[in-house]
Amino acid sequence: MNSKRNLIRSALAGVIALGVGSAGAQAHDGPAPAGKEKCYGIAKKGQNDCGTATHACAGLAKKDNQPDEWKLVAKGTCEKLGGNLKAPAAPKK
Amino acid sequence: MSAGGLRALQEAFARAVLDGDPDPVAAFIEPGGEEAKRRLAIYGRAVTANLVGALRGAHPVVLRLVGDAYFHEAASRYARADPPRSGDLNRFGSGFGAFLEGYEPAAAMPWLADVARLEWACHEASMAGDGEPLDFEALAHVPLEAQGELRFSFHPSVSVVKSAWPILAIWEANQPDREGTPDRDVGEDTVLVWRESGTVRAVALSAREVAFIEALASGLGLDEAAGEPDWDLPAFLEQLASHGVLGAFRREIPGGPPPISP
Repeated sequence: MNSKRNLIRSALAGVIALGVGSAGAQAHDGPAPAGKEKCYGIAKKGQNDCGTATHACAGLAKKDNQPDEWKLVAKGTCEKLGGNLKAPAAPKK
Repeated sequence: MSAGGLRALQEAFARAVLDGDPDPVAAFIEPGGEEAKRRLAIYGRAVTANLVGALRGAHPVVLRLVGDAYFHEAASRYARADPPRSGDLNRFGSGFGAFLEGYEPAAAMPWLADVARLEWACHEASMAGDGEPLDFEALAHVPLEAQGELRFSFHPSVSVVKSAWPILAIWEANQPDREGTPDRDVGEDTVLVWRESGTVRAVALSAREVAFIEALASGLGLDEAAGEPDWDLPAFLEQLASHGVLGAFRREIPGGPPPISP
C-alpha cells in the first residue's frame, strides 16, 4: 500500500507544481478578465446562426420536403471511409 | 376558448408545422390572401429549415460525411420525430445520435450515430458554464494522510463518449483543415471532450484512464479511483489539471458516513 500512497503523493505534487507556475490555473475555462465578455458558442465559429434571413428564405424557396430516393444516399466524405472501417474483431472482456 | 381547446389548437398547429398535416388547423385560420394550407406549408418549411440549420451547426462532421441532401432529409425526419422542447435552438439535437442509430438509410454507416454523439458532446462543451476552478493553493495545504480521500470534480464541459468505432479518427479527419481520410480504420474510441481556454478539445482515453475518470465522477476518492498502482497516475492527473479538465476538490470529512460504492 505504501507504493500506492507514494504514487498519489507524487501525482498531487505534480499537480500542485502546476499551480505554482499558474499554467493550470490559466487552462481552466473560467470567468472572462475584467472588461471582456464571454460569448459561448463562439468556439463553433458562428455556424449556428439560426433564424437568419438565409434560413427563412431557404424554407420559402423549397417547393416541398418529399423524401426522394437520392436524398437517402450519402454523398459526402464518408466515401473516404467506405467499407474500410472495421468494428473490433472480438468484444473485449 | 377553454384551456383544453387552446391545447388542442396548439397541437393541431404543431402537426401542421412539423408533420405537414394542415387539415386539423386550417379551419381555424381566417381566410384572405393565400389559401390557409399554403400559408401553413410556408410556415412549416421555414420552421423545418431553422431546425435543420440548428442541427447542421451542431453536427458539421456528420454533415460533411453524408452530404447536404442526405443530411437535410435525415435532419428533417428527426425534427418531426423529436421536436425541440426548449425555445433555445442550441438545445435542439441531443437525440440526433440515437435517431441515426435507428435510421435505416444509415445502416451501412454504423459509426455515424456515434460520430453524431461525439459532435453533440462538443456542442454541449462549447456552451457549458465555467464551474469552480481547481484551487492549487488549497491543494498544497492538504495534509499527506488526507490526499487519498480527496474527491475531485470536473469542469462542467467535460464528458466521455464511448464507441465501438474509430470515431475520434473520423472526427479529426473531417475538421475543416483535413480532407476526410482517417488516420486509422480500426479502434474502439473512448473520447474525452472538454473546453479549454474557449476551444473544444477531444482526445482518446485508454481503458485505465476512462475507469479513473468514471470513478472520480462517481464520487470516489483519489485512492480508490486510482486502482492498482501499476499505471502512470501522476502523468495523467497532471495532464487533466494542466488542461483545465479537473475542477474543485473536497475532502471527505473524517468520521462522516462512508462513501457508497457503485
